[in-house]
Amino acid sequence: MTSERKRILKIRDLRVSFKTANGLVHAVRGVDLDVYRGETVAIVGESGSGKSVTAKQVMGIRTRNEVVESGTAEFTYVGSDGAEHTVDLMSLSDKEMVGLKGNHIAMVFQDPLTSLDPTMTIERQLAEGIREHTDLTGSDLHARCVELLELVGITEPEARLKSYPHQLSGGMRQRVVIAIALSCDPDLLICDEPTTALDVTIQARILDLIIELQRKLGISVIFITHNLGVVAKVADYVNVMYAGKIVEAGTTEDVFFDPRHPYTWGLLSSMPSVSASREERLFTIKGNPPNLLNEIVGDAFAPRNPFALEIDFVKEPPRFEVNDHHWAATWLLDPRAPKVEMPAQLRSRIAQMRQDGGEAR
Amino acid sequence: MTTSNASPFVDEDALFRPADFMAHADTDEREYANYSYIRETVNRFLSNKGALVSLVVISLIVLVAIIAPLVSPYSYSDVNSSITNLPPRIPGLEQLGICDGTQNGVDLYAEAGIPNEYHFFGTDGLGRDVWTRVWEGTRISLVIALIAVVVGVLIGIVYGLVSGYFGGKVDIVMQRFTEVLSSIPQLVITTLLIVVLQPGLANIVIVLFITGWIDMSRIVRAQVLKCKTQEFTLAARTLGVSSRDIIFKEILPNTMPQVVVTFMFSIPNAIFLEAFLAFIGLGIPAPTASLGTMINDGYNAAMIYPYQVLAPVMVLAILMLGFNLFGDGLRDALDPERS
Amino acid sequence: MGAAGVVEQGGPLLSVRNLRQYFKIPGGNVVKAVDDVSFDIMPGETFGLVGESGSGKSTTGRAVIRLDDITSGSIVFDGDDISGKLSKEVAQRLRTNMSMVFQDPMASLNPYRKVIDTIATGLDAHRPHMDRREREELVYQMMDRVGLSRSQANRYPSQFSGGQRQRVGLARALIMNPKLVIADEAISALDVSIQAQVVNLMRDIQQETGAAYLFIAHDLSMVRYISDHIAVMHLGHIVESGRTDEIFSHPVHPYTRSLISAIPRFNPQVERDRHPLVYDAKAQGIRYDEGSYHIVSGTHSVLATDQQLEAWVD
Repeated sequence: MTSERKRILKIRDLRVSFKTANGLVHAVRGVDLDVYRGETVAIVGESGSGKSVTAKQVMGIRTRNEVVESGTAEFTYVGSDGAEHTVDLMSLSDKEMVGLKGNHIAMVFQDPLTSLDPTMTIERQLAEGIREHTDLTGSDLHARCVELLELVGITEPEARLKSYPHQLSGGMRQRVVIAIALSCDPDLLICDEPTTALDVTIQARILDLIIELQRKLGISVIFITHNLGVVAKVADYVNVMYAGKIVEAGTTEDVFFDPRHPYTWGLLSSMPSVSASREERLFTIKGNPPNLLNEIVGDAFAPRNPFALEIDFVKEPPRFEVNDHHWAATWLLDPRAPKVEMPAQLRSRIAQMRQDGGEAR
Repeated sequence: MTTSNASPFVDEDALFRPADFMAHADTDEREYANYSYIRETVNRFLSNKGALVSLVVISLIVLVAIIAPLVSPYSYSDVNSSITNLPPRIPGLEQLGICDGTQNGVDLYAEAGIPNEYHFFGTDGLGRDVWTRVWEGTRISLVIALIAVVVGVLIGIVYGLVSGYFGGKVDIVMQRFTEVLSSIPQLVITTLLIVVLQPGLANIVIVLFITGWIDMSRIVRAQVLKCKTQEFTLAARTLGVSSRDIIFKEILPNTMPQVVVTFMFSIPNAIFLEAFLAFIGLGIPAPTASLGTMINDGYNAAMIYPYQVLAPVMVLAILMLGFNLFGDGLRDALDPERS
Repeated sequence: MGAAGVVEQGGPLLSVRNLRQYFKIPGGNVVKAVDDVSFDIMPGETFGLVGESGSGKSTTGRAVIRLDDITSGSIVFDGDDISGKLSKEVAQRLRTNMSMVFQDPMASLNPYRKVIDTIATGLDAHRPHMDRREREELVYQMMDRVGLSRSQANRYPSQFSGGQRQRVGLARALIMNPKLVIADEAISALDVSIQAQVVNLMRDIQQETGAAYLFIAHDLSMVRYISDHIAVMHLGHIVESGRTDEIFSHPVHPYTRSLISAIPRFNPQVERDRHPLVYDAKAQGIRYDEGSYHIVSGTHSVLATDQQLEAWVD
């Protein structure tokens, strides 16, 4: 998958702030992101890290007090004329954005109940989406609705089409939302915490569905989540976000088996693992995430970072390449830095994971 | 870039040593301290130009209503049959040919034998100074509205709190009572009551508040119902806090934004109702002036002496508009969810 | 009877027997939110109550602390029967010895009250004539214990982050030195790194004070960390309960198995091709009202019919 990878989205130096009465909240502070055709890119971070705001820029979804300070988002797609187009999503008008959103980019939100209209049947909501960008009518339209519900694994699609959202279970609703998102044959699907509101036993099945659809339809997916378990399951590439910046990026294997940023270390360590013993104390990242109202000097993670260097409090770390598909923004990777190893607890956990992975194959 | 602040003379290489956390200990501490609810509310209010202007206008009217009758050389009740129905005469403006005390080219002030006096808004049919009476009337109208609304608000809050918090049968009975009361048109109740009680300052206040508290009680009840199921109220219950303390310490503060906003909207309502009663002849008895009685008096002669009715009508209109705009701005600031 | 059937030294701190909580809904129907639930919590232990939304786990917690009046059953707490109308003395003991930590770090704190007053809620309710200085000192000690600094005492909840707010909620619950703390999804709204902080803190406090916890959650991975005993709830019934190691090493009920298999593995090589077990009571023909509690081993019991048990155990 190295040579013919085709980039469909290229975000550069994205900076977004929110105007509040208490000042500017710098929610996204210089994000670069690449999405390639047919791949799943995860953005993982805690609440307030800016992961959702970043993704919503791609969809042109902004609140009134939101200010885009800088940034480009070049989106490449094959138009109806068969030729390839590249547009900057950040400089599109609302009207142009609507056309793109209907035909090439779709989004699935966290709460399926709020993304569906409670007063309309599933069929009407689905048909509305389809009609916007095709000329299907009558029985063709109905057939397409049935086909879409089948695609997302809903049994008895004919009966379900007549239902209202409240008559369906949470998992079923999210499948409908995904079906609506897929109704326009998107090139890029953005999933914003699509399983967080669902019960644990349902979550895995929705994830399986998204993976399956992605493989079957060859679409690209941006997956936003705070859950590393979800990342491990769905992602080809991972971007770890903290305080409005991506601090580490790489393939899923890079980030899980060879993490370099102390924040990633902390995140991976604080997960309770299935195999670890109960007496073991959970690893924690001390302190609280920074308030993005304040100006951040140096590395935003420094006050919580037990491995912080003095320079972390003075100067923002640049990116250090670990290999051609893995980088981290931490001064620990600078040649001048003292040699710091990841915590022993995490190291043994990773060794265990490698072993399990080997057995699984 | 945040890094540009760093001094270029710092020896970077020397900074590649483990950080001294004692030196940076304050960073975590200050993180969320700078958030202020009050500042956010005030800023939201200040950003609403209409509300700001109306606040200034209301304050001016209130100030003038307090000061003008005190400094005016005339009293609101002095009857003088020799100077009836004089047109307005205002120093300064009279040089421009308007408000110079003349009518059809005749200087009525000279005719009345008071060439050196100024009645800013003229005088009425009994020779009373309209300027003094307008502000005296504004003062009375504001006082009536304020007392009626404050009493109504207090009753409404208590009623809403009790009805909402205890729920069940208590709530059902209390709600049916307000429904019956509010199903009779407000004007019908007030007019009937005034006829029975005889017009008078106290009775008008009573009548205004009898119908005025219902809205407030409904709004408070709705807010109580919302707060009652919220986790902070449940937490207080699990800790054995008494119902009285839950109502007054946990729930009441959470209803305050809505209470203040509703309060602001009730004032123009009460002023209007008082004016209406006065206009249909059920206002406070003479010689006391209120905006309503003045409009009533001036209305009869409106075609001949328009200034007698124009002045109180203008003040009334500005007050109503001002309070409504101010209430709007206050709602946006205090209760952004609802606006 | 006796889902947990704990046989240990000393009596249980909390003993729930045949608890039923039915709600009438408009239209004349009755929702059996909790249906014949029994369990015991021993002093100083952590009891995990796990299930998906709608399983009745939170309703059980609210019934135990008497936020709602129960439909039937008995609840005995620290020697007092608290299932009926509470006498003044019993209510006083219940309100000081049992407390609750809530899910939503924002909604569980009154936005208009200073943190110091929120934490002192219990003190103000039960010791109203307390010396101001003493009250302040007790709050400060509690703030130290939950990892808040004293300088934050006069701030309002909006000036705190989510994790800090949950610490305030914990301090409020602990101020009366309760014997049982009910934690209703107390960490599920927090970020992962903060969840671990709060779980560690709760364990530390338990070691210091010997308080028992009823830890209600939908996520087995954290429950496993903190609990001595676990009961798995589904559709108003406890389907399986036992010691944590019994549940995790020998899960019997298919619902428990599906919950355990749904715990994510943080290992991309394993997780990608792993498909958690699917559980659908209706499709698998499992009716909870047909089953009875069977002891599998020790304290480990399962709700099943004889045939089901046979099929599941092998």
